[in-house]
Amino acid sequence: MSMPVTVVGSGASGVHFARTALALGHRVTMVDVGHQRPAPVLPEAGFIALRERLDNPAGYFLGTEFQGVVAPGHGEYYGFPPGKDYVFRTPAGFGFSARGFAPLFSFARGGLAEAWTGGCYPFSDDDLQDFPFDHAALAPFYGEVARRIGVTGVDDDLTRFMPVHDGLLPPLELDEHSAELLDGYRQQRHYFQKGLGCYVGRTRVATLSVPFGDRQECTYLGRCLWGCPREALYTPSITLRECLADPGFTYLPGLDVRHFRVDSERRVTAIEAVSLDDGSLREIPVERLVLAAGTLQSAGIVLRSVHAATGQVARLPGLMDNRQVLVPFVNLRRVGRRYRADRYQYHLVGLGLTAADPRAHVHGQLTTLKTALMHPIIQQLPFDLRTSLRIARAAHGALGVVNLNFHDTRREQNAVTLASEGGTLRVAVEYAPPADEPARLGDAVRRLRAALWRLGCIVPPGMAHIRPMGASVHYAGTFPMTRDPRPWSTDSGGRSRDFPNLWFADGSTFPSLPAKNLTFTLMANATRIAHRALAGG
Amino acid sequence: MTATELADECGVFTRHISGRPATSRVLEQYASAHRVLLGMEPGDGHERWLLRVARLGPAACRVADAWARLAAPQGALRRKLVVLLAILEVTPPYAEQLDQPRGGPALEWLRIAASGLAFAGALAIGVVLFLPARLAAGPRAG
Repeated sequence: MSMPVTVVGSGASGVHFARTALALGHRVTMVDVGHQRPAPVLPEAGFIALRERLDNPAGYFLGTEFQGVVAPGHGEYYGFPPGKDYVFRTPAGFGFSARGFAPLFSFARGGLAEAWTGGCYPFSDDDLQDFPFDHAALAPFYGEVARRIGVTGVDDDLTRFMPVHDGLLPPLELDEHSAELLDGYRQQRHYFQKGLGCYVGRTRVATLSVPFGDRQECTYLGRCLWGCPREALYTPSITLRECLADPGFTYLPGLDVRHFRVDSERRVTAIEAVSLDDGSLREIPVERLVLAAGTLQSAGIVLRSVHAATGQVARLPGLMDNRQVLVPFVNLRRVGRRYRADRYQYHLVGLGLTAADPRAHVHGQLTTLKTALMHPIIQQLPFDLRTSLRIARAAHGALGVVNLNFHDTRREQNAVTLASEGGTLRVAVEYAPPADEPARLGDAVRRLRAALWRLGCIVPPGMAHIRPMGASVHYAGTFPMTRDPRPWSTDSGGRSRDFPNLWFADGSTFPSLPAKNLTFTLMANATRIAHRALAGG
Repeated sequence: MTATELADECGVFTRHISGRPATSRVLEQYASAHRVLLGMEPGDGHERWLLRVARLGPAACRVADAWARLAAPQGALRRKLVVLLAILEVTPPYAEQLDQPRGGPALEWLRIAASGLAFAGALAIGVVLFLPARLAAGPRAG
């Protein structure tokens, strides 16, 4: 029997919930703000040709407002590409407050994962210890999602951190620098594993190495950082497009969902959304509501709903995010050697650092720099810019950055609530890192430095950058799946224990956060939740 | 600043960074950046003095830049230079010149060593020129 389902949000979780529900024969209405990606510019041109053919290359690479320039003191090693500004564009009047956390919000078609780097890392049994199910329960859905989106990778030394799933495509071609680093590790594998607790292998990425359905494979244009013009790198808007082709799917863009209404049995009866066209309030009746707006925005909808119904301001503890540390390095053996721009630009090599508690392992993605803008790095060298530029030019093909990810756990003091600002209630986030964080970060960076040294690389002193909390955009934990019922929680199927016809399909339901990109698991879990929520008609 | 002064400044800074004169496209982008970005004006007397010296020519700019990297890394001079570097690295013909080594590893290591020596010299001159002004300006806010 076909059931009507209303999904809020078109991010990784929302579209995979919707795609699954449609495949099961149900009717889906998706309510979304839905800012759209601009059309790709000169889609067949490689990076070098693009730079030469553009009338205004600075406008394309830096933005007409120069928002892609990383100013001194910013500390980041990547400027955010202007072509992806739409991902983080917010509706008029949107605001939040935050303490100890720098949150990012997305109102784009496809959500935050429109700007991801494609890392697909299944959670292992160790990662899922706090979840009310194990890896075996999630494994079929990793396979189901992989067959939808296309994931490339191999079974190698990193499999101990991320289980292999069905549907893996052959890996992408390695660039020369990444291949040399991987070879260096293989020649010293014993030392790395026994001496450093460090395992190195290929990353798994949602970028096509072969044609896949109606999508084209990567042809190594070198434009990954500015948005793949061929859609070889998967983004959720591709699945949204597939949903739009299904007659059972209704898409309502331009609507910012504010809150929902409940009846006397706490069943959700309708959602209220503000039209971005004219600011009017629109009421949409619902039978089953699925919140997939992202952890912070889903929390905001629930908090505003509670406030609208009771006048109370609730507090949702347990917010999590992955701390990230960027560690740049120079491969001394490659100084003075040329690099090829027509290579894949994101990470092709990954690493895992073991920990006494297997849940606390550290995951890293190693990106060799090719067409990334260099001014963020050049300005941080301790010389005048002319000298720094000469050094950077000689070392360009020798540069790389490791992005270390650290796990997080739910803690009482880290919460999402509402705060009044000028008479308007806005989402308020508060976060404090755990007391042992400096020691954990220091240990991981020390081991990474040692590993890189064995590969002929140095980490310039003072250049490791601890990103602010919120920067990784791996938010989770506000409505955790638990075995035992408790307020502000969900059952193992993502169903709210507070509102019986409400499901959470996004990261809100994660009871812990392993040290890896969660997006692939968001998709797999949303698929699992859809099967559970809609089973049996 | 007048448009002419800004263009002159851009010309000197471009030669400092790349060794080449600024094209009209670079001049235009540099002026646009000054219209939209914050922090491009000197915040105190020390920064004004740095900028005045930097505008004298590429060699003076290198001295001011070397000193600013240590004494005012987030000041107006460094901000201007970093914005210009960002423009140059995406703009032909500078982009090609800036993004690949031009010799083999041995030659590049020699160039790095020579650049390091030039930086040391520029910094030494910078200390003599700017340290008194820096001390006279007193402690910086922020």
